Amino acid sequence: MEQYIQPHTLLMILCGIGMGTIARLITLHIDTRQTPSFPNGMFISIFLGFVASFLGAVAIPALLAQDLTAVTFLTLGVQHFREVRTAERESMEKLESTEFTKRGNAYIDGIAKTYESRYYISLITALLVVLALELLGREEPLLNIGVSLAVGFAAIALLRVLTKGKCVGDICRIVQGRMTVEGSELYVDGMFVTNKLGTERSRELFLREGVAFVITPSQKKFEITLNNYGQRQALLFEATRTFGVKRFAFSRKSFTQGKVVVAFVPILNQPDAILEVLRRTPVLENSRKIHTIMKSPVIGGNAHG
Amino acid sequence: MAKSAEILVYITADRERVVSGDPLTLYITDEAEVQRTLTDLGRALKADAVRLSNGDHILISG
Repeated sequence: MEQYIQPHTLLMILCGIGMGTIARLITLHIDTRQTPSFPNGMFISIFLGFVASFLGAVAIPALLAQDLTAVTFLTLGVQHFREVRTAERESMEKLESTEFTKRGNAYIDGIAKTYESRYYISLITALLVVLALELLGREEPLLNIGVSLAVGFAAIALLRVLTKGKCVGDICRIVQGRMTVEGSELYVDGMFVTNKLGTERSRELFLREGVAFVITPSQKKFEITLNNYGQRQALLFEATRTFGVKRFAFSRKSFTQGKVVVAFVPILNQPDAILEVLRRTPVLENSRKIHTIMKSPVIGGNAHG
Repeated sequence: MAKSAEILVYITADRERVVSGDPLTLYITDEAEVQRTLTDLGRALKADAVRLSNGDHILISG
């Protein structure tokens, strides 16, 4: 019987795998961004979460059994999850030409990194659960399960807080703007947006069905984040992907007023809902140049993924 | 950075501005015909129309 795993060890590993997989399920929320896609992308994410949990769960028992080779599988796992990031990035890049507007490399990079980090959350949760059970050193199944749940949910909560990002709505005020057309030029609240409305038809379409939003940073320093090209692409992408584009999609920065304008002609004309989507657009990691907004993401918004 | 735009067609009502070469330059004096041409070509080429301050129009892609 010695070659078989001990029941207590098996229980510890199963608890670790269970909590690690729950961690991926908790961090897997499908919203308007539809990332991951449903149902196949979602299933892949859950299964990979299970694999990550398995790696985390067996690490401690393997170490205690002096099986150091098994621990090196952790590094293989890390390599694998880096490949997940690459695969997600390539997948999104290939889909760029099919979208209404481009996601942009900055946003793609952020989403891909989020995918990778979520598997580490599963792995670390499983590892911490098994470590706690090992330190507990008791064999009562119910006690082990109870401790697993407590440690697991505490680890998930902590890791979510640490990895949670902010939303544009946290650092900016967004309101609907008033559109005016002069000649072939579109202005929103007096700010120039484009001169591509060269035909009567396009001018009428924009004034009749277009929507425009003015985004104002709540502090001067946030202008740097907001004016980042990747961040503006992400804002326009989220708005247009959720509500569609009949024609025209613009984002324009005004250095004189320190504001950004997003304007387009949506298929679904729901200004309040568009406003909410803009507010919930993540602040991209690589657009956050200011140290103070990188600190303490405790009061962050929803991150993608 | 955003990709650069390309001028596909130049429409003018001034014969002096019609020069050979790229892009295609059209000489049209009737404003209604200009609007129709801009709409038709804009649809066909998936291009945006811009009215210049001198009254001429260009169709640009990108």
